[in-house]
Amino acid sequence: MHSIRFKITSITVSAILISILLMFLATYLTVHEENDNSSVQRMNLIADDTKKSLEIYFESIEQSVEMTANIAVDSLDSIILVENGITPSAASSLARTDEQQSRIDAHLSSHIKKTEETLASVATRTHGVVSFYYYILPEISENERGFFYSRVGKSGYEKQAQLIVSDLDADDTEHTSWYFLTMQRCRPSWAGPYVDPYNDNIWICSYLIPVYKVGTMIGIIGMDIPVDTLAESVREIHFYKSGFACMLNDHNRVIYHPSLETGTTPDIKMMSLTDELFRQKTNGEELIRFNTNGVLRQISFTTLTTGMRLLVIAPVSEITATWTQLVHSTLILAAIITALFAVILFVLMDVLTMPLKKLTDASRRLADGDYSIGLDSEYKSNDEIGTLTRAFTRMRDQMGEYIADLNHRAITDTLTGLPNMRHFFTLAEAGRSKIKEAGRHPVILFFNLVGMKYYNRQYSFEEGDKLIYEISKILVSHYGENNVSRFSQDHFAILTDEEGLEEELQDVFEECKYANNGRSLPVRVGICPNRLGETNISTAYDRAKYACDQLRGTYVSDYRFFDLSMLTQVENSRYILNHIDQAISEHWIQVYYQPIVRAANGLICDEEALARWIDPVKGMISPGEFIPVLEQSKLIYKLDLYMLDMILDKLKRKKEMGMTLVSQSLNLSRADFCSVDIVDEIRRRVDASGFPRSIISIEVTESCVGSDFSFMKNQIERLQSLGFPVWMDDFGSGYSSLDVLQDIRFDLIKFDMHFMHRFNDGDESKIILTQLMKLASSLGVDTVTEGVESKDQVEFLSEIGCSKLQGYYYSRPIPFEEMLERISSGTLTDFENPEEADYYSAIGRISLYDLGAVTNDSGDDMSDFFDTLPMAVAESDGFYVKIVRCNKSYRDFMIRAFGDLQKEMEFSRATVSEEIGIPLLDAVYQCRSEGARIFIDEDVPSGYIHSLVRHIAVNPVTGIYACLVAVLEYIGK
Amino acid sequence: MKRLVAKYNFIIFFLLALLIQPAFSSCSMPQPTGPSDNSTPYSHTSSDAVQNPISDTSSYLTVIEDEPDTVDFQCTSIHYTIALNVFNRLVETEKQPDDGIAIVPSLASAWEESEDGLTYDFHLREGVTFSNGSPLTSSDVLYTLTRLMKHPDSCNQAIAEPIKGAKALGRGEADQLEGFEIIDDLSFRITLEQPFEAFLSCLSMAGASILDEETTETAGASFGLDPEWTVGTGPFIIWKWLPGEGILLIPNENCWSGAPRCSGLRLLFTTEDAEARLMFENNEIDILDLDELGYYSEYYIHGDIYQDRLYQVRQTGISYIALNESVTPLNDVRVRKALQLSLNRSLLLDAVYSGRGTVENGIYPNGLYGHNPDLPEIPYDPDEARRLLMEAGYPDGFELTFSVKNSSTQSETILAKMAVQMWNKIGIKASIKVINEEEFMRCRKSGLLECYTATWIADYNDPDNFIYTFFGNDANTTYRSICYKDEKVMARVGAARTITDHEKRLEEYHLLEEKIVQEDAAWIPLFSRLRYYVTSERLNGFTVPWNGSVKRTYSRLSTDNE
Repeated sequence: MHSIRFKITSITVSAILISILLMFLATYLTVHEENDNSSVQRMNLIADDTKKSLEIYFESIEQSVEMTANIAVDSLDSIILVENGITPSAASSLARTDEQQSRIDAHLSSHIKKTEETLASVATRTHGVVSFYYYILPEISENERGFFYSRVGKSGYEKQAQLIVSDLDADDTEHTSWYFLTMQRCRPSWAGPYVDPYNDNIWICSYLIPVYKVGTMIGIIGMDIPVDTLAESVREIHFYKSGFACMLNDHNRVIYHPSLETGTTPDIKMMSLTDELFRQKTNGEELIRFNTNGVLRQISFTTLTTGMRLLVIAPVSEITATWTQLVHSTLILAAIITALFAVILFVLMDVLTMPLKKLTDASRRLADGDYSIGLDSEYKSNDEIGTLTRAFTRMRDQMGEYIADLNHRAITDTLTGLPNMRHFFTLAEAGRSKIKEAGRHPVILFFNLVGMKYYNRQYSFEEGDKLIYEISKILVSHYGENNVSRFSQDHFAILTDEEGLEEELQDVFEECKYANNGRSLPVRVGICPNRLGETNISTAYDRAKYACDQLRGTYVSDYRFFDLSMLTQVENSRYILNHIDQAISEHWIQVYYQPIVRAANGLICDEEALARWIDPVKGMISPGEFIPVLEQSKLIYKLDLYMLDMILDKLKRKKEMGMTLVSQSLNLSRADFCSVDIVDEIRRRVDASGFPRSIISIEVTESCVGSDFSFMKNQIERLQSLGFPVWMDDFGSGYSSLDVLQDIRFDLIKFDMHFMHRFNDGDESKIILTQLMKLASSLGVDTVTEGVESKDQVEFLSEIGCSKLQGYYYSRPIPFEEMLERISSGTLTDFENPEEADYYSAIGRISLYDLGAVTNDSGDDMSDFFDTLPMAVAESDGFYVKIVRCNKSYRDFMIRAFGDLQKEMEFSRATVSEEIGIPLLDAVYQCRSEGARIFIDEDVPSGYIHSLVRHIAVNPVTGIYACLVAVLEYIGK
Repeated sequence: MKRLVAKYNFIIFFLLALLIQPAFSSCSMPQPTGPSDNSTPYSHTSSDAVQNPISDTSSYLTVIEDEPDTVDFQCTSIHYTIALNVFNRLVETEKQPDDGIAIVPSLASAWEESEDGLTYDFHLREGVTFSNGSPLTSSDVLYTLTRLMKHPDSCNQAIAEPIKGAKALGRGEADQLEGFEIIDDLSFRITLEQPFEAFLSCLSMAGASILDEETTETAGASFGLDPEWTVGTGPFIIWKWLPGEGILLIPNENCWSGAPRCSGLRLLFTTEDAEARLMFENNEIDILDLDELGYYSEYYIHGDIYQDRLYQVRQTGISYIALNESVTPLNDVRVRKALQLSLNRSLLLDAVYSGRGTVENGIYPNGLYGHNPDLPEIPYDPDEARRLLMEAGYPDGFELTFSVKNSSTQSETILAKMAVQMWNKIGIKASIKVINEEEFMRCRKSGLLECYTATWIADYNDPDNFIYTFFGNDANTTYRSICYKDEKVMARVGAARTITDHEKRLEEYHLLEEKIVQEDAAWIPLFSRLRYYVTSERLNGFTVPWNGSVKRTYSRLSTDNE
């Protein structure tokens, strides 16, 4: 981890370093160029200075020789020369006569003498001259050859033997270049360096002027100076540390060089020089550098008017030495300053960040839960850190408070101040041990107020809370503060022992009655004694609650012990929940179908799917056992959707087998609607199967609807709007409210089987059923009655217009395979053609005890409820008439009128007479069309019969139509 | 603020330059300051011709020049460099590829000469403008010729004199040049008093350069002195005249004959020979005239490093020794002949000029139209000379003053000395008298010099230029201190001009030449010379004018560094 101190210090130091670096770079670039320029200028200056002093010297030599030459030329007489054959066209001595030559010689003699005097006097006055001479060219004269003087000692010159130029060897450039060069150049020029054989073989340079007269070269005047003399001023040049100057002649031969031999020719290309460059006379502004033996050197040069080249050379390292020194010192200084700064900054940052560091430590300790950190005296400054410290202190205090509060809340119930569940478990565990140690039997009580929800609704939550609070006080007063806990709303857990338990409870019940000023609720208590086995507190609580739950439906204060049977139930429930998935996937749960039969034709018009759990371990588990468990755990949807899948699967098989498909009803629980969007799940599955939605009917119980009415109404309407018929199951089983029928338009009402169970217990059940049928019929709702077990029941239900029947009379719930078997064996009636369903439904709906079926007037004087008009439902195809349904009055009437019931129940035109039968047949025929209503009078042997025939329905498949026949009046003869 | 400006003046200048560059470019040259307040109508267009000169003049072609008192070519007989480079003539005399010499069109693109040789119809070149933008018209030519005659300081009247009415105009007897007729802007007719075959040649002389009437008229005395007013049609424009230093000329980019090949021309004023030599050695000048260097010229003529830039040129001129016939005993033809015969002219040429030339025997030198190679040679015969002296009555010779002006070249001086020596040998007591130039000229023009030597270089390519100058009439011959007496001969010289037949005219010139030189020994012809020039290494395109004169046009020369 890098501390702030480290970061700030390093950032600042980096900033300083970068600034120095940039500054250094900028300075470097500027000074570097400046240094280059100034070094060139300086070296040029040195070269120029030397050049000037040299040129002054050279000029003095040149002037001396020129002066002599001028005098010599003047002293030659053009006329003598021309007259004696020295003309531009004929300079050769051969063209001259001896006489002419001697005249020339004579003239030359005086000329030479004059020149000799002049040159000698000039030479002695000129510095450094080692020799001077005048050679007359051999073609001018071989007699007068001129003169040659060379210096002897330091003082004077001595005349030397005259040189015979014709003897000179042109190849011996070391010694004779002066002559041949001049003969070639034909102009005044400098020659050398070359070796003077007459003067100790020293290296010399010469200035030579050819003497012309009348366009002819007469001779050469020259002066020699030793290279040493020239070198004097060059040798003295020292600059930088080892900078030096050297001199080359116009052919780059060394005149003077501190390390090279005079007369050698160095490779100028090595020095980055070229003849091209030399032609510019000086290097000017140009920076010339070259590398020899790993040393980079800089060079400046200048060309003297003599053609000689003066070079000044210095190593670049020395040129830049001052600058390099400056850079070094600057860098060292910068390093020192930076280091110093770094140290100061580090110390300063330590001082600045110390409070921060302390604060950081404090935070760390705070994070570890230490709220006792003392910081108040640490840092009181008013800067950011001070503010931070104070804020931190404040935060620490507040956090401490909050944590304490939270801790309290964590173990206490805010409403009652009792220990909360978690805390209670700890306390109870200890308490239970204590009780056992005392040799007593601990028990856990589950204490529950009955109807708290309604209480809250009735009296408001404040009142509810008040009641709970007071109850808690009562409980605490009986069992002690640490033995009572409120687990939720109105659920309390209590630890106590068995001794005097029930008496104590009675006292509690008594006190509770008067809680909240008597505006109280009864209580239920479940007791889990320790006797059934040592469990943890949580399990004991669950068991107590289970026991308490068994009191459901009790509305007075009561208590119940958890016993062995409950233990079994609990274990069963657990088994069911643990194995429901397996039961489904491994088809332990099977679908049984109970046929529902049309009363009007005795054919199966519906099948109710029912679940059977055939467990490989436990054998058959009753739906009454597993369905409530699944409902309670909200897992029922798994079962129901599985059921639906199985139904659709069966339908598919039936369809494949070419069988008539009838509506299948599926039971749904309230829990189905809560767990998933069951409506959509069903729709998806049915749609996917390709069957029409109407083939699946949904059965919901009345209680299921009642719990959350508007929600369920909405769900039912959704189902219906999707095309699923919705049935009300078990109507009349619980506390039925007719409200439901008013608000929800069920497609069918299934009457609970207890109507059938009490069928023979007097007429009440029948009357209620009759009226309920009438009610359903009037509402246009189809009906089915379950639990049909006898023929009486079938007849009665048929008469009162119950259109469908279900029960063991027809069949118990059986697997699909068995149903197939039974149908084929004839022990089970066949399936109804669904296309005829409406027809038979219409027939079946007619209540033959309903006067309204005949007139709209209600019977007023019927002492016997069932002593109604004789009514029958007749089917006819126009040729024959068959009484398919009739009431008891009709049967009685027929026996009275015709003496024989059987004969009159089915007859055809072939068997009836004009007087009897034909009028009914005609009337029935006329009533084949909808809404028709015919009154007929028949004169039968026993009397006159006044009847009403009314249209009911037409079978769309067979064309047979049904109508109601009611005997309105019978006058016996 | 002032300091601040000074400190940042470079930057400010730079910014200003950027900002007002368009303004700068529209007024590149200062307005001419003439004598009158009226600015010239063409001054605003001068910027078209005068570009911003290159401030670094080192690339300019540079030559030595004597500082002129004026460059008004009508009023000088020597300072013609400006006339030749800034102005043009109607025609030019040019050396042809076959070494012949011809008159070629210049400002006049064509002309027709009448059969009688009296009228010339000239046609000016179209579209020629002076460097100030003013177009060249016939009236400019008329103005030029009129001014040539009327200008009080004119010394080139001879050019225009053949024109009808010119003399009258010169004398102030007429206002108009009668022989000049403007036909239209570009055509005019010149009628001569008498036929004059050399007329066209005369018009090619520097003195016949054409002026811009309006500018020159407005300039008045400033013409020839102030660069702003000295404008011509030629390849250069005078940019600056720095007294004591030189004249800078810049190219006339709009010149009708094309811009010059060099970036500029620098005429440096120098009279010191040694200085010129040093300057040449330092590459400061591009052309060195070896004539001025004395024996030092030998080093250039022979020097190894100069051989590829050494030019040898025949000078169409003649060196002569004038003898004044009005002086006794020079009035005696025998004496004059003795003087002729006693001179070993070949020896003189060898000794003085190292034999670089040709000995001449007449008046018209080698290379000139009308030169007669068949003239009898004047021999070196001192014995005959002595005999003639004796015959003339001077056996012991006589006193003779050979005048030499102090500004003479070394060679001239030597020549004089040697001539005197040769005459001394036959007993003539000749001596040299050095007099200053002014005095010398005054005496010469007044016919007072007894004897002197000089060289006449052709102005135009016609014998007339020589014979008429020295023997054309009394005035001319007196002006040269020859004082020739034979009026008849002189009349014939004048009349020879009007001979329209070329052959006859040349024949007459030959007869006259022989009469004057061989018979009358009116002067001593010496030789025509070869001249030598060395050029700088950077110079290209060096040629020499037809007459070998150092005065030349530089427009076709260029330097390497351009």
